[in-house]
Amino acid sequence: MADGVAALETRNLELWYGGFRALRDISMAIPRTQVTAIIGPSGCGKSSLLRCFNRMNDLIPGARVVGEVLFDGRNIYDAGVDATEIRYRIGMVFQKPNPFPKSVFDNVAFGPRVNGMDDNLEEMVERALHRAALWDEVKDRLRRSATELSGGQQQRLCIARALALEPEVILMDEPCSALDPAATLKIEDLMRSLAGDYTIVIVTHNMQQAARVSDMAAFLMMEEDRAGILVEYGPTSRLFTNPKDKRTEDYITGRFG
Amino acid sequence: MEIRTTFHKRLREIQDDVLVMGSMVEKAIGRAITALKNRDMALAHQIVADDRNVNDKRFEIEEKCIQLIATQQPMASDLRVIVSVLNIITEIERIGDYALGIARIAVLIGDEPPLKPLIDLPRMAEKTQDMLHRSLDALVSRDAESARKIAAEDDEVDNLYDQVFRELLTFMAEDPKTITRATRLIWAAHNLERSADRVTNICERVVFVVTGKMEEIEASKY
Repeated sequence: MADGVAALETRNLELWYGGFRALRDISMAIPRTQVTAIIGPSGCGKSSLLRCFNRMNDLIPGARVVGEVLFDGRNIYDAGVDATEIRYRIGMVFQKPNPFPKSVFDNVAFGPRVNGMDDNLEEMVERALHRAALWDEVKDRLRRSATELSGGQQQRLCIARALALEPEVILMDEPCSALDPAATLKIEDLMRSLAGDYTIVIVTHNMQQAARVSDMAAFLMMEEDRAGILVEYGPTSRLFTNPKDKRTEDYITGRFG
Repeated sequence: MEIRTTFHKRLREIQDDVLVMGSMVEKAIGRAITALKNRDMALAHQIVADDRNVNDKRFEIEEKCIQLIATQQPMASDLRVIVSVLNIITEIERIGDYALGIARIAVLIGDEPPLKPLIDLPRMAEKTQDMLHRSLDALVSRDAESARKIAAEDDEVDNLYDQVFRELLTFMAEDPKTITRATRLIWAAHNLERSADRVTNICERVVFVVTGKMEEIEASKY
């Protein structure tokens, strides 16, 4: 991928948990302001890979990264890189909605406040809620507890909370797996509306979801030593209609899993 | 480990149905030419009546494909098979219509005295039947190479068509009283020529199933 187009790029990335190699030789460029999906069978290292993109694995004892993850041309694992700053610029949304037990407003305002960005806080919160397609549903209950929201609303609140920090990249780890179909479709719709302004990387077990929302798709699988490898990576439109690798074909047509 | 056994079983059944439909039409071509050759009106009427079964079979297969798309979210080669089957059954159905057309021509000719013994027309029919049969085998065996080869054989049908056309032209030139009968035989030949062209379309779909690429095979000069 040409320079300036990739938002994130891994080069010969390996991830170790103690003596266990969870990922091997992952080299891929995530295009800017598009949606990239990572698919693959359980345990193949999808979430581990996603967490490499904003150094979330740092928080796991014994986790070690070899190789490079370039963000803005700089390896985020270089000495002197502030992991917290990376996580502001590369936000994350998790499998289960995890709003703070605070008001809707305070959830979204949390990040900006911690960072001392509290000028125009109301405007910032409203903008983030609008972008997360949640504003109309919560504008009259901003001071009510976020835990009163439905699961789908909570997940959009978590997306708003990430957006409030004006990130460049949003990582989503199975963001719909705890949601019903209608809420799922809303999140998918939201992802499409955020693409163009944000780079989104989503890990999903749901192949149809990957096919619906992503521009690029990566297929990971486990090798015999249980290390995850990147089997195939390409435009979603091709990967789901005419994959190049037989293993991708077998996986997406359900001939193994 | 095969996971989607039910889905893949249903996908195989659909392809079996396509083979059944193909053999119905293959038979119809042969019987239509026999009706024409032997002036067998009963047989001709039977072919006209049987065409309904071909159309029913087509809708049955189409319905099964729609069901699989709606309920099973087919991907990759599975998706290509289903989409191609939807195309292929349209082609087969149309070839069935051409056979029906020949049966109607046989009825039109009725018991007029024969213009000449039919030799090249049955050869065209045999070649077309053979191409149709093998194109569907190529679909089931995922054989793009065969498909391309079968499509190229359309030239043979075209050449026979030229021959039939030239020969009947000489009849008409010599004796204007033969024009009606000769023209009807040209219609029949034209139906066969078009049938073979439809087989090349089937071959294009087979190539797509195997390679994922749409390539136009320009076999026919007509």
